[in-house]
Amino acid sequence: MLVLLRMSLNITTDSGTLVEAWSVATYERLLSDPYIWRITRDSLTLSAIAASAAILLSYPMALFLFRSQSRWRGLLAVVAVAPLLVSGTARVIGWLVILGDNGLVNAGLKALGFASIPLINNWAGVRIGLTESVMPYAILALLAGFGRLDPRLEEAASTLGAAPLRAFCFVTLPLTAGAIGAAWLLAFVLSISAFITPHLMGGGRVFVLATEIYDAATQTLDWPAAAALSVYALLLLLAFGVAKLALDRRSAA
Amino acid sequence: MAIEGHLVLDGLRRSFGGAPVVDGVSLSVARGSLVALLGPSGCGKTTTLRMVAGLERPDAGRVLVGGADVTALPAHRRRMGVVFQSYALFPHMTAAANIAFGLRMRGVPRAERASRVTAALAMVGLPKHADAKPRTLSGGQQQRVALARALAIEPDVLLLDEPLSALDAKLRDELRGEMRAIQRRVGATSVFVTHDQAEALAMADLVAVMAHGRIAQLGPPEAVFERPATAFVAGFVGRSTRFAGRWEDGGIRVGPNLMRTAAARGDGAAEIFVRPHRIALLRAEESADNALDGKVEAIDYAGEVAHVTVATDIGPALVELGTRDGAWRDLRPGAPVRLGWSAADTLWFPA
Repeated sequence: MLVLLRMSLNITTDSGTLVEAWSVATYERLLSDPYIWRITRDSLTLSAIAASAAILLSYPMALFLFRSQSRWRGLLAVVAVAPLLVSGTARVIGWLVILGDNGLVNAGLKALGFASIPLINNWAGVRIGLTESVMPYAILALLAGFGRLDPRLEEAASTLGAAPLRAFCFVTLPLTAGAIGAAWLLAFVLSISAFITPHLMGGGRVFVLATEIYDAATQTLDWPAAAALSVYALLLLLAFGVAKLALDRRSAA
Repeated sequence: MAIEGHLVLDGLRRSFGGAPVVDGVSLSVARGSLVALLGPSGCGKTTTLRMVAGLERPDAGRVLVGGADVTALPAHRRRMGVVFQSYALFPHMTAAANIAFGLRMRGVPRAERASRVTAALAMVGLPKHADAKPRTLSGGQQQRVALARALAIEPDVLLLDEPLSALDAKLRDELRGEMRAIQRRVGATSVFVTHDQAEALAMADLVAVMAHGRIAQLGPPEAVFERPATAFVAGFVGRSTRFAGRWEDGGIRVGPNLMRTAAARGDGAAEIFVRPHRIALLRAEESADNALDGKVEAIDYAGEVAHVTVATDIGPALVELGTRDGAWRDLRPGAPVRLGWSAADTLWFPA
């Protein structure tokens, strides 16, 4: 951390050499660069989309897992969080196979007579990959929230005349709102810091904060910039992390 | 069985994982009366109630309300009010919103909802608590809100699952009377589940004592208490002095004693039950159908009565003495006493 901070205070000259200094010039340079702001906006939007999509897909799964009495329940739970056991790179490679131009999805489309859709090396692929990678976390976070839900409440609602859908809307959903918020924030924070998925599934065409930091550190060798961006990203994450803590405290009350 | 009565349970059966939990329960409840399902845990009383509410589907049997078969209807289509053991109040809604929920689901317009909620709160004695959230209410208050919520929809049938078990003894006593009064005033046909036999005897018009998924005895509280149909009912309802013996000519032999019962003869091994308040301490010149000598072992003072345990050579005897005349005060542990009771009060069952 300290090394990072120290490095961020150095300067890179126009010709690309590192100059030891104690200045905030690097920060000034970056913050006045519209490209950096665009990257930030893209990162936040991507993370928001991934988090929202993850919640939409995870909520029904988590609810099913929570309510299920079947003996497959344990197995399904393992299947739902199994992706966590696999390294990010391996997962991405799996996605490339499925979403690639000659992969599963496109082969199926071609067989049905449709044109293939480019789903890798672009934003679409990154969105899909990122959503899937945060879903296990979202499911776990939602399940934790559901654990506090009293099953008798939905029963009470039904004895008062609420059909299952209305019982869900009026009782279950409002009571799990806190869990949804916490899970969304978790997925969001994980998405912002994600690197492998945008890097590999974006095929060099998708630029987010994480890839920018990587590029600055290894490609352009602009270490002060890389360090400064890292500090910047860290502060962003901190802000959202604090928001999550506040929400956790409120939903636990 | 005759299909009469406002609420009828006809041969309900339910098994969980192969084991029968409710094994042929049939019951007819007259309109406006309160029936208690009484029994130990695991006897199937809560499962039976849940089947009546529509929260469980019976494997066999029917539930009829006012002659109509509601067995196939899901819970939200039956017009029944349910009070859960844990109250199940919606934590994110105020007391008023909780009570209004059922009315909202039935499409009652807002103005009418508001007036009915106010009336319901007044009926349960909480007129000023409309805007309180459940977590700010005491156990007794939550219970009342739960009751108001179930009654606000003016249900055909009111079902209560151990409604008082989560409360402390004093509150339970108070609410018992209140609930009964409200139930009578509203005239709702009611079934409530309890493991507390004192509660069942105090509140119900009819008591169904259950064991192993079946009704062991169905009758008014006094009949169940004074004339239990089986040894299980005799043992479960109220306290008893018990002896094990064998039939001989004229009575049941228990050790050196021959006990007379209301029956003239019988056969084989028998279990005798005598209610504690039917046993008296005999003075020297008195006699009784059945008499027993013993020594006082313990005296438990309970305010209105004193529970005296007397050790005899055929086993302990439980005697209940009223405290009004102060006779109990003369007893000391170790004091010799003579117990006596009538043949009519000697209940017996084949062992």
